[in-house]
Amino acid sequence: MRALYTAATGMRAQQMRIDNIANNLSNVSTTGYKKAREAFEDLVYQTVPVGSSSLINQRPAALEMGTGTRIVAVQRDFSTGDLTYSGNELDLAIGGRGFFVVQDANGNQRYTRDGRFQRNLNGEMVTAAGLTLSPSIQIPQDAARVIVNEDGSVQVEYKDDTDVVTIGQIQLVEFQNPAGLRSAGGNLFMATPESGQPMFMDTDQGMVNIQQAFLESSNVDVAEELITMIVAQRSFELTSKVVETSDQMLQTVSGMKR
Amino acid sequence: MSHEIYSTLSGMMGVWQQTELIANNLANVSTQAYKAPRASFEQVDHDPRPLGNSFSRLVPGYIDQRDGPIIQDGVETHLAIRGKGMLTVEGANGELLLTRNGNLRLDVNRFLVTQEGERVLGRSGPIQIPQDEKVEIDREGNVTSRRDLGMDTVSTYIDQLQFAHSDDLMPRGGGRYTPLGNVEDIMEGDVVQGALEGSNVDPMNAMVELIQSARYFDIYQRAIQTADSLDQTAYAMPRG
Repeated sequence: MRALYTAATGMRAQQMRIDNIANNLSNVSTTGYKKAREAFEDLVYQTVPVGSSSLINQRPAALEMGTGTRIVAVQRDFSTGDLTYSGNELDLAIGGRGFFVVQDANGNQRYTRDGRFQRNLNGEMVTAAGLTLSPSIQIPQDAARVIVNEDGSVQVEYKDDTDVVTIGQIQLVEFQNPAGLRSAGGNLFMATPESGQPMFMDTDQGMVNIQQAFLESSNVDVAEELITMIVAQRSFELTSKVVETSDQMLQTVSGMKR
Repeated sequence: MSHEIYSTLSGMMGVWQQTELIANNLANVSTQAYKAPRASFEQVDHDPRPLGNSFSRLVPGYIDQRDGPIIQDGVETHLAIRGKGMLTVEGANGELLLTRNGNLRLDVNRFLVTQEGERVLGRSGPIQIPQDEKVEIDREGNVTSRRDLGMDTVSTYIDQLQFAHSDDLMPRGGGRYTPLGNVEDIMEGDVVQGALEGSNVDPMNAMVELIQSARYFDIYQRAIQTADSLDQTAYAMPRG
């Protein structure tokens, strides 16, 4: 009977894999989306004693019977997506590592690589979903042009003035272990004990690289996803054959008694 | 009751167990660095005369140590090993575990760990990568950390991964094995960074084995039925 349940673990894991591929593929156009990959592991082994063996005399022979597989983790791949030109002066892309810090309505800090910023009612820079950038940057009403430099400093230009005025600094943070971040939906991540506390990145060492008027595309590779999907579907079919065969064997057993 | 019914039953039970093994192998067709265990049938004689009372049973064979396919993914903490050699890992109780599964990550203290969070061992203990630095692992398993400062690159040598090999392994799940015999400090393979080793389950082979098991199972069932009808005929013979 174990074969049925073992095969079921395989089918369940492949099903989860397809779910994850579906999520990756549906986010192929999501700005700053980071693809996720499943990590498979075998489950615990049960020992089935088969008595002393003539072949293996060193220890009592026992079959180590595996009980299937599971997806132990879904890891995010934080590699940078392609930067695409958008022309919008408040669209920002992070060229290297790091995250923008944004604050939701309840004051919770969230981290994102989605740099589609807009102005809200008060002229503050907010994400498409309305979360304010932290520390807050307020763009004066009469500013003619906003300049965001590579190091994150924000300057504005007025219509009748040749001088540029610095109005703020965009801070990027990074984590000891970005893979430990939890997804909060809406392109946002949350810090966890696994990820460690956010740390501000030095702006003067050339580590921060912010590109104005660019957006970071999703790092999902469609070809890779489709191939994984084919593999997952075939693996699902293979394990379903085990279910079929075990079922037939059980039928044979019950058919033995006339 | 004739004894052949029990001989046949032993074969049937063995085939049943083999199906369970195949089920596990096929379920692990996507498990990183999974090594398929094999089993074989063995004859057990309780009566040495020809056509005497003998049974069969499934006994553990070997673990198929052939390399699985390499799957490139570019993640810097992912390793694939080609050839002989396994990574050494410190288990939860400080025991030594061996694994081929190079699906590693950094934990919050930036130690190189398995998915379960157990530390991977270098020649002088667990491997820790400094903050802000990238990991580079060469073919021999030398771990270097790298920091990019604009145009400059600063590399720091950290340690060499400790590899081991043992012929007698007990699977623990999660791709880890407890070595039961001698542990040799050996590495005869190459380390590939940014790639994972796939499962070495051969689906075609497993399918053929599955068909074979199902057929044998049917044949055993017929043998039991035949033995049963022979018995029936014998019992029904008129006395006197």
